[in-house]
Amino acid sequence: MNHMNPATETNSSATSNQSPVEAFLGIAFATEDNGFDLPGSSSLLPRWSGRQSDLPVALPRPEARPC
Amino acid sequence: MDSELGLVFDVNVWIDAAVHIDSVGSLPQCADPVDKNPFLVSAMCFRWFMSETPMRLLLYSDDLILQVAHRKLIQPTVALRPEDQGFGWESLRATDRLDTLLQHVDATGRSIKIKPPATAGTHGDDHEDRRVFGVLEYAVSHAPHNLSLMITGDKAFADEINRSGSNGRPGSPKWGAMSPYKFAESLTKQTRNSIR
Repeated sequence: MNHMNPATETNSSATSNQSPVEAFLGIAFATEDNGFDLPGSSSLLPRWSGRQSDLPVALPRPEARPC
Repeated sequence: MDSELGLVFDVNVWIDAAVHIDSVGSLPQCADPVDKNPFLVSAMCFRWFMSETPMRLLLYSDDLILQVAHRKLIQPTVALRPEDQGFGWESLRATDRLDTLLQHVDATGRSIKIKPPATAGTHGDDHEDRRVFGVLEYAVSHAPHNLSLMITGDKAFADEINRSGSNGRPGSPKWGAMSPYKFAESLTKQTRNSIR
């Protein structure tokens, strides 16, 4: 995986010809950190149990769906 | 490149934003998510959704997600099982705060409420995670945007989503999950870059 330095990514996002969504993704997924370790990132309420058994193996890929 | 982002807020994000509205009466102004209060951070996600961002955002939800949020708000603050814990609100109070939030979102004209198809599962179609995931499935399968993103305060749930998806990396988008804090923080940085 190609993980960019967040600081480098931020600067390149400002100068490149990326779409807004691409720029957002470059910033948001520059690292594996999804922000859950920061104070206040998680809700104070616990959620329902048993989620793993409810999830299918994978979501359908958009490119595979019929037009 | 023309593109937009499909969003699914999980039940706890709706709950946290409703609690913020209950405490201060309004959504926060867009600002750095320096405050680590989860209620404020979730409310900022809604504010970002409604504000002028460089991106086109589309929010997917359904009635049952709001019903689950309502149920959690009115559950007692002390419960035998942690997952049964709530805020102990009166039903009318919960309805009012969630309605206020929904009115803010609907006012943008960029929200879509859907009814995900019933799916087999050990907890049935009314299970919180199953329902939220069903909305994400719908957004991924039916919407034209480049990425569908779930905003959730549950790290294990987000990890599960990201393991099954492409994590939204440029070049291989389609779906991913992140915390409300990360979402608000990333939008803040992107907006700063776009106005330089």
